[in-house]
Amino acid sequence: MRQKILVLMLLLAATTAASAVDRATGNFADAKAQAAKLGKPLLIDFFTEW
Amino acid sequence: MNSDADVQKALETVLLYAVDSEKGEGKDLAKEFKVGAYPTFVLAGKSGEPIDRWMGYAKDYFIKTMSSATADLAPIEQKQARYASQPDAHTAEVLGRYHAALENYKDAVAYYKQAQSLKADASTDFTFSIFENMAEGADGGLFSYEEISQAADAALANAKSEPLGIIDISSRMARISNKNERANDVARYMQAGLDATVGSDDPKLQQSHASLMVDFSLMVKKDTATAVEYKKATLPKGWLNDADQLNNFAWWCFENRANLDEAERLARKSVELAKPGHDKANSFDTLAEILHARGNTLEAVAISKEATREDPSSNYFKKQVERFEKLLADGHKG
Repeated sequence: MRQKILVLMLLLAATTAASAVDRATGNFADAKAQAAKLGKPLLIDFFTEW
Repeated sequence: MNSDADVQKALETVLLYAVDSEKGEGKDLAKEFKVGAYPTFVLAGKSGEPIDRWMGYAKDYFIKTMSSATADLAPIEQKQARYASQPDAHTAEVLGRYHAALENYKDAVAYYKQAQSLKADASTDFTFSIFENMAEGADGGLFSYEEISQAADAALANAKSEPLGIIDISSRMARISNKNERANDVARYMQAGLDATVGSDDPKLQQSHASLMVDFSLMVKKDTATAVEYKKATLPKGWLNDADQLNNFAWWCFENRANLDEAERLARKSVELAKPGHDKANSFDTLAEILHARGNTLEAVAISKEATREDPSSNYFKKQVERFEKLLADGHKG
C-alpha cells in the first residue's frame, strides 16, 4: 500500500503556541457555544493524522 | 511570502476548532459535513450553518481565502439565493470553491466560469480553478477530454511565468491525456512542465523537473529502465535504509509494473525495517501486490495475512486478503 501521505497539518504547526488564536475546546456543541459567546464564526479544521 | 504571524492574524476574526476526523466525535462531524479530503475548512455560524468552505492548506492561499470568506458572513444558502437574483464575481468565486470542496466539480466549474466572465479586475483569473476542477472531475467522466484540454490550454496561457502552476497543469494533463490515449498531448503537456523548470536554481523546481523526467521517460519515451533511474535520483539520501522510502519506491514500481524483481527485494527490506503496526502492514501489503504481479499469488495471500496481523483494525488489509484468496481460487498462479 502506498505509504502514508503526510497530511497537511501545517495550519496547526503555524498556530502552535500562538496566543492570538482563539481555539475552541470540547465537543462541537461546546465549540458553537464558545463561538457564539465570542461573537465570532467558527473555523472548523477537519484534519487527520494520516 | 506570508509568515506564521500572518496566518495567526488571519485567524483573529474566528474561533478555530480543530477536528481529528478519524477519531471520536470527529468521525460523525466529518460525515455530517461531508468531508471527503483533508484538510477541509468549514467556516460556520453560531448554529453550525456553513458560511464558506475550502480544501487544502498553503499559507498564502489560506490567508487570501480567509480574507475573502470572512468578508461575507452570510450563510451559504443565503449567498446562493442572493447570487441567483444578483450575480457577482466574488460570490461566484465563493460558491465555486464551496462546491469544489464538496467535490461537486460540475457546479464548481460552472461558478468559476461565471466568476471569470463577471470579474471586473484584470488581475484576478479563474482559468486555473476552472481547469483544476475539470481535472478533478475527469475520472468521474464529468467533462469531455476536449473540454478539459481547452481549459488546460487557457490556464497555461494565463500561468505565463508561474512554474508551479505550469507544473500542476502539466502533470495533471499528462495523466489525463495518457488515460485518453492522446500521445501527442502527453508529450506536449509534459514538455510545458519541463520547459518551465529546466535550469532552475530553486530546489523545489529542480525536484519537480526530475519528477517530470520520470513520467516523461515512462509515458513519452516508453523507456522504463531510464524512468527507474530518474525515479531513484529523486529519492532522498539514505533511502535504501528507510522503510517508508523503500516502500514508496517499491509501490511506484508496482504501479508502473516496472523493475518488479528489485522492487520485491526492496519491499522485503522495507518490511524488515518498518515499525511494527500500521507501517509494517503497509510494507507487507506492497510486497503482497508485487508478489501477485509477479505471479506468486500463493505467497501474496500469506503476506497479506501478515498485514492484517500487524494492523487488525484496518478493513483495507482484510479486504486485500479476501481479494488475493479469490484471485488464487480463480486460478492465478500460486
